[in-house]
Amino acid sequence: EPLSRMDVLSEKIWDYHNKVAQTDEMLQRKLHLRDMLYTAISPVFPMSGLYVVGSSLNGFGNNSSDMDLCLMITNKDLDQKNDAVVVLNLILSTLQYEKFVASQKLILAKVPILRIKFAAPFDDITVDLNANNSVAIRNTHLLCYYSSYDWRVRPLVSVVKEWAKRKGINDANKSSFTSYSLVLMVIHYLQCGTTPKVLPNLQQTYPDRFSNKVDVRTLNVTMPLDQKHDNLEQTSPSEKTTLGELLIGFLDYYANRFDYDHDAISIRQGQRVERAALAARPKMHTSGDKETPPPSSSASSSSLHNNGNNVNAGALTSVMMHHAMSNPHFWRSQWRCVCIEEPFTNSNTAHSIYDEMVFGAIKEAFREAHGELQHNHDLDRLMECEPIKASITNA
Amino acid sequence: QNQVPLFDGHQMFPALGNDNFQFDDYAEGAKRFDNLANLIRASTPTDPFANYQKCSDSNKSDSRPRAGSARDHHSSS
Repeated sequence: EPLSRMDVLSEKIWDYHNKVAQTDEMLQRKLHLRDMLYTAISPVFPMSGLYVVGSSLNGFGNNSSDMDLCLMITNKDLDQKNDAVVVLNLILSTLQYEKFVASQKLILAKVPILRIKFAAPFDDITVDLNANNSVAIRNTHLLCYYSSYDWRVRPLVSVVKEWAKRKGINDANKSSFTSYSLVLMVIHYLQCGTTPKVLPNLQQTYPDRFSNKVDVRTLNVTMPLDQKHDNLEQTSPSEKTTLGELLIGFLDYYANRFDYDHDAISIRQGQRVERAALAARPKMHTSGDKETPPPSSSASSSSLHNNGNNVNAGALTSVMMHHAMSNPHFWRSQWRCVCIEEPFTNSNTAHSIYDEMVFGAIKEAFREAHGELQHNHDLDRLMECEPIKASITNA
Repeated sequence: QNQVPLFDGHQMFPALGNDNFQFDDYAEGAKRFDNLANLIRASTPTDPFANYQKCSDSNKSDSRPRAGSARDHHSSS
């Protein structure tokens, strides 16, 4: 009996995922690089911890992903506008003497980051380091358990990310989705857009493990979940929705079933919520998403190369940072087109989509991709797409 | 010339301009967090399609190693 077209699509998705997913070898190189950085940083911050966060450790990384690091120094919230910049500047000064570091750049966003590039053999890895932004540790932990919950989650995210990249809608700087937002969109779909449900709401089902009150040092990172509590129907492998069906269903959900004007995505609540309710709530604390502000805001960066003249940019960058945060456009754009609630703060991870033209093109891209894939079940043709044609109108 | 201020863990950190600034110990916690990689490995099936009937290698597919997802593995044990 020949394989059905759907099974061929499912296997193609799985094969594609295996081709691009982060290999163990790549992870080992990243961990080694992290250890080298920690050896350099620990004389300045002796008790600190250098956490690997983001796609390198949340299960959704591919082999070309950068490495996000979070330097934890205190249990208290570190003021991101001023103190985090001081800490990152200190690290910048320390690392400039290390031969394995090629260049550094301080990037001032809501959560400031130090972007580090390396000499060979680590010249293919870029590090984004933040100071004490512990929410990045929490959402890495949460996403890792989502990515491990069902084998279909990771391959689905891999192809969605690649499709979005080729379509030109996976770039926060061009007013579209970050990878983090795309992952949350897939998780949301698997929580509420499929029958039977593929994913539960982990934060509600296992509050002891995923509460933001748990000290990040005591997060359980070894025990599998006791799945008796999740209330999902147990389905036999033959009854499970295939990977191919899930991909078509995902495109259908965001092309035809999701009401962008009224609905917001909330992984934390495991459901669609009214966007008005989300936007009305106050922000918790520093956000864990790593979006850069819209291009029209005044965030700036200073860079320092090993062979260049050293400038301690601390005071200056602090002033620029303050300017970016107080730019009204930056806040006005926060809840404009697509609403995706960050699971541990009240911020909108999709706030970079503030342009109506780009937003329209994104919705059209979903409709077109759904129509095409539903009709011919051909992953290669889906991936041969052209980038959306929409320029940012108000940049 | 940049002077890198050193401290012994008890001193305050003058650059942060806060007398109450407190350093906490995260060295072990950060290393332990790497164990998430084991969770990812353990939940990755070798061949999730081994259960499907395949036209050309229906016999071979039974002998292929298969690890289910974390969920399958857990519920079957």
